[in-house]
Amino acid sequence: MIDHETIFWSLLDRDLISGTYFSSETNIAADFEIPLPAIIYSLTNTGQTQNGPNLWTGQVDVQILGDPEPAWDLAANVYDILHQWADEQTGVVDDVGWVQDVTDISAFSRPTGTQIVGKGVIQYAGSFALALRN
Amino acid sequence: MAYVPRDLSTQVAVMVGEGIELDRVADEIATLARAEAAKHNHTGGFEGSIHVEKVPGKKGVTDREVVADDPASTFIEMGHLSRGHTWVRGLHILRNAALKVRGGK
Repeated sequence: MIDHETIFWSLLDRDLISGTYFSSETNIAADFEIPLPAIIYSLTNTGQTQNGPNLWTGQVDVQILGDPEPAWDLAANVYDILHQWADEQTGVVDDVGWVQDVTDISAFSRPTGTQIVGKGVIQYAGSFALALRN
Repeated sequence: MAYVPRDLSTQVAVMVGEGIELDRVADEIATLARAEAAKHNHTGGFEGSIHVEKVPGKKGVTDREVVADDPASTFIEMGHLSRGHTWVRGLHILRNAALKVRGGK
């Protein structure tokens, strides 16, 4: 089975500006104070498809948190990074797998509605379909 | 002489988009999502806001979207920062309902 968590984490670790906080939401302790700006993501592995050898599909929901300007800059940066993995074939993690395709389900946008987060902090939400191979 | 139209897949997709099978699948996702939302019911707003919309897709295809448009829906679905800057996990109710119906996990 493909290790989609390792692929996603390793590529973000390689491509994000050093020091940027990012984490799968399942790894965050309940009492941990999130440093801003931050990237919080949730991955699902939908399973293997029959459309190609070792082809796996999944979805990642990505939340960007921070003050308005840094949060937008980070959202734009993450969007470019995600697509470069597939478009420029840079999404390769040796001996684990690689990113074949990234498709927007919804690109980063600010949710309309009540802002629950702390004062001055905004949230961008984006969802992307992933096709991975190993 | 037999031939296959170049846009056959689009023609089929348009036909399917007008049919009731997509409605059935979308309704199933919405029902599952409402059932899960009911377990976390605080105000009923999120659960009550879940509905199906017909939306225009590519090349004239009519698609379906399961929508929760409560003002807090994105934060409930995706998670959010608390006032103490800790992370409140998303419930991923819509995503999980869609995955369950399509046979995923």
